[in-house]
Amino acid sequence: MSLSITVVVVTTSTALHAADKLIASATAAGFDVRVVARTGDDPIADVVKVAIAASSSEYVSIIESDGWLSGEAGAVIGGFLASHPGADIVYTDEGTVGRRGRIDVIAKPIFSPERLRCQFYWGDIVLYRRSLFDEVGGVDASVPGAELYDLALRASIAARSVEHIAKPLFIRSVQSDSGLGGIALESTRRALERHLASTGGGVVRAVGADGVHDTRRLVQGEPLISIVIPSRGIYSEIDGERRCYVVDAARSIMDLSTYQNFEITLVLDSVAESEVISELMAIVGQKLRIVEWTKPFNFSEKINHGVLHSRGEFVLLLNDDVQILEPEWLESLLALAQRPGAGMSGGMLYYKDDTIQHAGHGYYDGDASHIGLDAPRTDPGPLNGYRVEREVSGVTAACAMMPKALFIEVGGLSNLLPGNFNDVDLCMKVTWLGHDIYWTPHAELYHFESKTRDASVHAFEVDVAWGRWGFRMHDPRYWPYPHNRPPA
Amino acid sequence: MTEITPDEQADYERDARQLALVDRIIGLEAQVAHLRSVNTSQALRDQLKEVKSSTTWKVGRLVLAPALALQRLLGRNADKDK
Repeated sequence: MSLSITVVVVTTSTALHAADKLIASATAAGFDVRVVARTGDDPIADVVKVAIAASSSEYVSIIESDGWLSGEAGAVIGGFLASHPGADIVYTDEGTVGRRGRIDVIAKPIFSPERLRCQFYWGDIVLYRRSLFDEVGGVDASVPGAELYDLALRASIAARSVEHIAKPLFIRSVQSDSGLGGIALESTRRALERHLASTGGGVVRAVGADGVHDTRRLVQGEPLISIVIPSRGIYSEIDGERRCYVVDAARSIMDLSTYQNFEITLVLDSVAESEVISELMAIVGQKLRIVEWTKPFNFSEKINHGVLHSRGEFVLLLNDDVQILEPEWLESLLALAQRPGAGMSGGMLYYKDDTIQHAGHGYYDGDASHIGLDAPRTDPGPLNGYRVEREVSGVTAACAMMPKALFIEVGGLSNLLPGNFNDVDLCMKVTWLGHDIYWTPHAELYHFESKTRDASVHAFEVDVAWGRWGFRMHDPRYWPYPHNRPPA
Repeated sequence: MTEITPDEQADYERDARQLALVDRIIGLEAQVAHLRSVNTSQALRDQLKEVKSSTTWKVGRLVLAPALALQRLLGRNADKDK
């Protein structure tokens, strides 16, 4: 079978044989294979241009890797393109050769523009519709060593449809994962700066030789953020120490936050101690609003009560048992919550033993849980997922920012869910209305929730949440991995 | 505590009720979508297939086979007599 796909294999003049397996596999897959050689750090734009000009294929792909195509690649890609005639860009899962020759699958998320500016997660085989390739000007000679990432960034803006094939169609040996060199890093920085400038702005804090880049969106204007914290407002014995969580949380917010246009709206139970209120007033000062909660416990209603009494353009739902770790946490959350179409943003939460409590919500096989749960703080996660800003299906209400107008539009947190799954439901409502949710590793907090907390899930809460959203409780689009441990 | 007038309090309570109503509407829309997603007829077909592949069903068919054959034969003869 011959597919209308030209694959340009880029190799070095000294290592032509290293590409033999790739060339053979691409030929066997039915692709039109062209081989070009890169000399040192010289740009490949010209040689690629010549190679592609000589072909009339509908799709082109440029591969610079010592991996190879899987045996089923040709058939799968051919079938996919036949059933997705509008696909402008196609990338696939990949595999690495593991123990005893077994292929370990590197599963990828669907097209995630914010993630793409943090890492070139598409991988080694990316097909571009020829007309799109030509439209964006092909490979750019001004970014030597980062040509393929740069091409992906530019093409992703112009593409109408970026598709993902969830099958490992490109295989690499584990050892072949070489880092980016000096020139490639500088080129990557230029490519990312250009990309950010043309997609709403942002800064490149750092480019990583391991392919993980710290790029940030920038806050637009200086909108007021209302940090809504529900609390009982009492001191208690915690690990042998007399503490009041909300006082400590407020102190860490005030001490650390670099973004200053915020207010703290505390929803305090009637039992709140006057000592606590006095301390909070002293710590927070003019930024403090306290509203009283006199009804029986209902977390959702308490949050709604706080939001209705807040004045900010954005609200940040925050638990009282947190400690801020990153001075720019508010900027990181806000910049994502301000993205066009954004519904919510959430951050990285750690247990006090420095394991991850939350790196986004994962809805998998009918269950909702936290991405990264129990993983060590230093764990990069699958595909470095704990290190990059990315699209996500949901975030915890323990730390979630969103436009206040949207919170109102979706009916706030459901008071049918007083203790559990109210955040899952909120995220579902937000995405149901077509908004995106983002997660950032740059808003880091301790969350002193016990690892063994008895969530006391009631049957009616499961009935409400799953009765509404059961059909969406398997959502591997942005996190195609099972839970680290079963949900509590 | 932040001072709230009775009028403001009434406004907040109205807003809270409105939030709950909006939540219910979206929840109901979701439930409808959920129910639609459950393909009832497909589920029934799957159930029937499961029954027909069970040992009980197969044994029953075997036991009833002579009776069914006789029934068909009698039916055919009855048709002829008409």
